[in-house]
Amino acid sequence: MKRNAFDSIHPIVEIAFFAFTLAMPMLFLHPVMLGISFATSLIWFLMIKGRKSISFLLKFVLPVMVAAAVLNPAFNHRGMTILFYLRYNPITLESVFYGAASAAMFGTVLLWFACFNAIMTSDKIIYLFGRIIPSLSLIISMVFRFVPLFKEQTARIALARRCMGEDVRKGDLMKRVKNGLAILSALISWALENSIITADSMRARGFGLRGRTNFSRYRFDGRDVMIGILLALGMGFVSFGVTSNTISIRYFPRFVMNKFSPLAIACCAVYALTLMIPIIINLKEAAVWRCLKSKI
Amino acid sequence: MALLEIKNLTFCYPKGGQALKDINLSIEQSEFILICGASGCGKSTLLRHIKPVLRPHGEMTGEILLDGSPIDEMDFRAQSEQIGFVMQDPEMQIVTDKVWHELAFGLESLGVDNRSMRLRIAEMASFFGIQGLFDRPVSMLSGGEKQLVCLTSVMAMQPKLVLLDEPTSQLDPIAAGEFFNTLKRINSELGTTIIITEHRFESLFPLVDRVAFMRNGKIVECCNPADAAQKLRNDAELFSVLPTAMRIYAETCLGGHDLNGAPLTVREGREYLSTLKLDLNSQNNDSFQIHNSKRLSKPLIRVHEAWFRYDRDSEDVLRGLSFEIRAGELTCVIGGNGAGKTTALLVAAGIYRPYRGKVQHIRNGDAAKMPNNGVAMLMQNPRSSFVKDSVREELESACRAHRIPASRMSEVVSLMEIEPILDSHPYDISGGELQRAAIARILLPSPNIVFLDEATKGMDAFFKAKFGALLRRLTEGGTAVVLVSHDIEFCAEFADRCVMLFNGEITAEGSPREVFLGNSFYTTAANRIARGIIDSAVLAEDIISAVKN
Repeated sequence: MKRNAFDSIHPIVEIAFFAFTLAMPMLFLHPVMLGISFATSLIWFLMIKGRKSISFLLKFVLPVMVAAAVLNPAFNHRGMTILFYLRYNPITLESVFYGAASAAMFGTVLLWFACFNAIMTSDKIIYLFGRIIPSLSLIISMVFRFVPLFKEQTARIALARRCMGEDVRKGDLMKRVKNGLAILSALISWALENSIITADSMRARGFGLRGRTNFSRYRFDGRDVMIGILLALGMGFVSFGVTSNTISIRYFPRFVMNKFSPLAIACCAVYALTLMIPIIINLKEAAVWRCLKSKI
Repeated sequence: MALLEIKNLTFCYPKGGQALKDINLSIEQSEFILICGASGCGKSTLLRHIKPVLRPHGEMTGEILLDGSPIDEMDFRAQSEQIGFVMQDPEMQIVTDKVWHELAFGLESLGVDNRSMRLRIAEMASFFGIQGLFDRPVSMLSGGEKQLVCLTSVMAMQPKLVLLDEPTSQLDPIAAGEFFNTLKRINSELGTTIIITEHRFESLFPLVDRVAFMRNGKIVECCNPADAAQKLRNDAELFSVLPTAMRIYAETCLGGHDLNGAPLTVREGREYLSTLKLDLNSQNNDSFQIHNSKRLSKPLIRVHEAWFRYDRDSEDVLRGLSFEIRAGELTCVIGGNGAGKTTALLVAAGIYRPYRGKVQHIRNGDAAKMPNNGVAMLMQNPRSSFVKDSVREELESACRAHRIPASRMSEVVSLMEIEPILDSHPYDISGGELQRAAIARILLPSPNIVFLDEATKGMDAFFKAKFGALLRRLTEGGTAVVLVSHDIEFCAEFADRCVMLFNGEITAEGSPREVFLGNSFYTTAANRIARGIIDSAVLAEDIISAVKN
């Protein structure tokens, strides 16, 4: 995965950004807004993942979108303009539009989540939870530690049993199930016994004292403040546009979209710019690097 | 005033059995003290009493004073800050998933503010040289690095006293040596008082200020390392665990019965040997025959040019490995970390198939009917592969599964000497007993070949001698035993053949004598002491008998 400039932004700003970008398509199915959201998320995802993004797109995003676009008209028969009849069920133009819109919504939400996955590392999630509920961050950290450890131990136990002649991959179903249960039993005994060691280790270092703090490695610098302000302005303007009905959409019974007033266009432009913040930061950094390197 | 004073400490477990009997010990500020003794002598129990939050349940009499005031009256915060404890198992001690979080754990618990935490962690990480590991997930660290992270995490809390309970028992000798050197640094550069218990202390002995020997819950002797030979000269059991140089000196020094100031290190041992002015010509190489040379018995497994890797895209773990395993022989596989020893075992046993090369199991008629073709394999840390509630049930279920008669089970039980622990739960028995029980289970189907992966890890010296004799009994019965071990002294004493692996290839093969005499560094302490003086010595006994002649 290529290095991403958005990675170095403070987690609070990052989560605010993602909260906004994920909430908007889900709450508001405006075609233009959806189009903007889809385009920006796609561009950013391609920037993050590069060539590997194509498999994700083909395996997950495309099928979901196609399914939504096809299933909606098939089952949703509201709407005025009937196109044709499919086995006594009317297929209406409005539901086709709605299907397309929900397809775009699914696609864009999936893409934003994929970007979220790439940017929000376990460290950042732990930090954010630590600010809300301090003890929860330690638990999350322990989960991240113990889940891979238990998986590894299961593999070790299975290998040891295989060496003893009890292979969980061979034999009839009953034998394999019994073997699997034996492995599970061994894993649980191991986990419980060893948890005493972990508990001792925690108590020996003072766990349980009141006033526990959280070590945070993230500092709020000037750039984070600026991005935070821009984000807030963008969110405010777009919300104003939606609530004042400058941008509005309605699918049933008739497809009605807002007029293309200058204010509506401005709203969409601001939305686009807000969503493009990560892309702009990335491009800016790339440009700076090119400039610096050319001076060497 | 001493930093730590233990007065008349006696402790009994609830189910009886006195674990500690009238312990009196006084430890000065900045002292580095080693406590040693056989398994079950009470060293861990003693250490856990000094850290009250880890104290076991039971009846305790006597008192422990830290800086003059009783430890029991210290509040939890003071206790956590001032007394640090590092345990045996590096894996389970670590709580969080990233190194930076683990380093911060203790400080977070103490409620230190962010800025001070950052400073202390930065300081400690730089002092220990682990700043490069800061962002790494804990799962990607080696055993030695994990233990170092645990130590740094404790040291970041700036304790007065650090207690370590067999910290290197799960580590290979090189990592152990590095860990001891780090402890010495802490002691000499920071002045932290350190109390450590260990089994393997050849490299630790010269570094400590005082050694306390324990047996059956009592402190038998407490002295300077250099005076240990003198103090223990009449105690054969404890004398046998002293460093090689010291033992050689004690057995061979002429004139005077004062063994004080005995050599501790290989270097001092060499200096001592050169003062003896031995006549090098009068040595007779033939006299160094510890094992009778066996006729080459028939091979049971032939590995030919085996190449193996775990993933198509990963590195080769075995490169063109070729060796033979013969009946009735104890073959030891040695080599550093990552040399491919465990993988070589798994490939030879037929569990993994090499992608190039051949592994031939030369079977006679019986072997084809046995489970796994007459091959038995035991992986490291077998405790987690026991699934029943007692050793007896485990053995019985294995008998049922493979249709083995009960007579065979009692045969194996007496061979492995596990009658006393038959009704114990696998998690309640010690490491050495567990190894015996695990080997008993894999011996039930009467295999021809037994593979053991690091069976000697964490065993004390007394038990290792017993274990070696046990393996000898097995091989005399015709079974071939292949043992992976980091313990060079053990291999030198008990093996019939040694195979040394490096980077997936065999670099040396032959009898232990041939292999160790051919190495300059990866060899026994005795060999390193006598190199150039008595060239054909591999064990301490060789040197002693050479000098006496």
